[in-house]
Amino acid sequence: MGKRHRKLLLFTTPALAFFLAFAVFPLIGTIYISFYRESKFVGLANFKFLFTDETLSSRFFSAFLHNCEFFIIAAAVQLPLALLMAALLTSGRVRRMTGFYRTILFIPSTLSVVIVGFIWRLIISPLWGIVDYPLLGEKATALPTITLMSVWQYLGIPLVFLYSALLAIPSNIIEAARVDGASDFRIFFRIKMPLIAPQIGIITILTFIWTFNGFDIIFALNGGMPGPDFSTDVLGTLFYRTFFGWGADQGDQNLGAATATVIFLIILLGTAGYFATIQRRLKVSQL
Amino acid sequence: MKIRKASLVFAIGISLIVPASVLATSAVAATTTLTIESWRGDDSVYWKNTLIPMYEKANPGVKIVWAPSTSNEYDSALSLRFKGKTAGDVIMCRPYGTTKTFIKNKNLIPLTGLPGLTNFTTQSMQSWSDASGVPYCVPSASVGAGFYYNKDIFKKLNLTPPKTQAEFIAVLEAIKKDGKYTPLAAAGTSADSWALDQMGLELVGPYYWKGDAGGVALDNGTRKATDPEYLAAFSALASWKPYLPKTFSTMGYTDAEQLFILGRAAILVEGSWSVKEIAPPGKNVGIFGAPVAKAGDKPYVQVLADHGFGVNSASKNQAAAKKLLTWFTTKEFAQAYATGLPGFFPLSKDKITIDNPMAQAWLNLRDGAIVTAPIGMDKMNTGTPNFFSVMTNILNVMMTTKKTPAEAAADFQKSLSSWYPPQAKNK
Repeated sequence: MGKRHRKLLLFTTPALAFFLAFAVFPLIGTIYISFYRESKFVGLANFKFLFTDETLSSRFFSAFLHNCEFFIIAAAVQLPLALLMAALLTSGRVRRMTGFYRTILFIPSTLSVVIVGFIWRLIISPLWGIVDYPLLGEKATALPTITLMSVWQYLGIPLVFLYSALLAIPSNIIEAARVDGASDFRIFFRIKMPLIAPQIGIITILTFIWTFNGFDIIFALNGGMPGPDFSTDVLGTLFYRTFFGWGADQGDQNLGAATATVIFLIILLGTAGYFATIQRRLKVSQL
Repeated sequence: MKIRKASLVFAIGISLIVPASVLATSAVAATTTLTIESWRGDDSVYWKNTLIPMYEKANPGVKIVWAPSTSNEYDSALSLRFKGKTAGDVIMCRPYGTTKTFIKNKNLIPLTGLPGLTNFTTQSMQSWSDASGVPYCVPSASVGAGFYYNKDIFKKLNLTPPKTQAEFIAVLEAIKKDGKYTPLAAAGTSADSWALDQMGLELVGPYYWKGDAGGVALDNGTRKATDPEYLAAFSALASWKPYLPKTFSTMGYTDAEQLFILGRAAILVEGSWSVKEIAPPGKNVGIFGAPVAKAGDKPYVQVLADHGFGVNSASKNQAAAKKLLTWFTTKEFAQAYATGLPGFFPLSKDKITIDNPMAQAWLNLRDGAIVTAPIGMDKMNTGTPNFFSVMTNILNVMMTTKKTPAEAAADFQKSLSSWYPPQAKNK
């Protein structure tokens, strides 16, 4: 027993050490410095400032709303699209080159965000591109445009999840349904969908975490004060600006840490709430 | 087994020690290394190939490393490096507010008594001095903003460079009517909205707010941004709106430059620092300054102190750094700077010959004009929020949406009075 234990420890220690050093320790460190100001303990003063300062709090709440918009658009577009592609690829109706389609759908996920941002900015550039409308320059269209770029890039990830879940469905029940005279649509909605429901739930919550941690593509496209008029400012860029500073704005590490802590809590509560209420009910259908 | 283990440990040990010792000996053998922090990545080639070798040749034993960051991240990154004591030895100083914050935090050493500082007027050192006039940076270069115009297009449409606001609008209107060219190219993205301040409001405004007097009145709180003289400046900038590219709001700084270079825009609002890119020899390009309201009025020309050099107070090589700064005060350096980086004008009293005709044309704008410094960049630019971040966003909104100059001025005054004490009473 003891010997087995030691072996287990041997194999898990490297990963555990990494996780502790690069995830848990910085997280605790961030929460710790969010209670300080110039190395003096100030309790919740940084949080109070974040939520009551006229400029900063309005930026914070607008960034939060932008994150919600980012999440809703991403989930509403990416999930159905990925499901459709995965269903098509596993339906047997695409007779040739499924491997090819699978690959090209996944390739964007392997590209650097900076490159994706650059390519799309060129495509929709008024000077060089194909669109004669300032998509990134109008408040109404800027954030949806960036969200769709991101959806385009990461479509492959939910696609692969759903693809493998659909492949895992035993072919005998599909065949049985077909013998009973069920149509393709009926098979998909009555048999396949319930079987992959837990995956859909997981993808939704991953999208939530990924959009609320969103930063890179917006920063790559619009910098640290993402406009026009802060219309693409999300919690990630707000955090960057408060912690590191931007332009003539100087960074404030304590306030930045408080912002990061709040973002962490939002994601934690959102994820926990989801698991407590919805995911539990999505029972894995027993075959 | 045991032997193999030992040899393994030995091998790992050697592989760790050898590079470390090589590094250590090279550090001992090497001479003093000075790192220069800068936001002028564009100038890297000239620094590395010309300026640095010039100094290293004359001063054996000194090695200079040019370490630029991007302009948008420079101030914040530098302040983090100051806190972490990892900033370079020589610091390129922004003018006014930002550097004054570093002076207050004792990140820079005072340069009182540095030989060569007598080469500069007190006025040019002001941008980098503390309240009692102690200088912290050697002034290196000033820049200006104005309009480049495509002489071929002007000739074809039979236009002359405008002097008054009415002529300016007439010229823009004529180009618009012709329909072949974008009348005025300018940067309109939020990321490049600094341009609308530095090469927009600060370019056309000084004439209306009467130069430095207007800046001081705003700093002291005796006048507010919604008063007629500032409002007129906002309006003068907003008068460009009908003549900007159709997709102005997604046009970045380099996009605007490209539009002009490709000959698709007739006029480009830009800075003197882009002489080399916009008006290379052989290109038929001219410049003109900010228009005045009434014919015969004296124009105002903004002279923006652009950068200087200071010494990091945490540097271990302060003596060597000061010696380098002394070289920065010499005529030799100023001349090399003006020749290699046209559009940056040395601030020293020495007589410098400018051999680039376009750069000389920029200097000529100052003849017969009232020279003024930009407003807002000094006292209002020391914290968060600050003049720069608030103003650039408001100007970006004014120029890309239907917001009127009066609303923009009111927005700015409202924000200013909430965080800038001297203006608190002017709500």
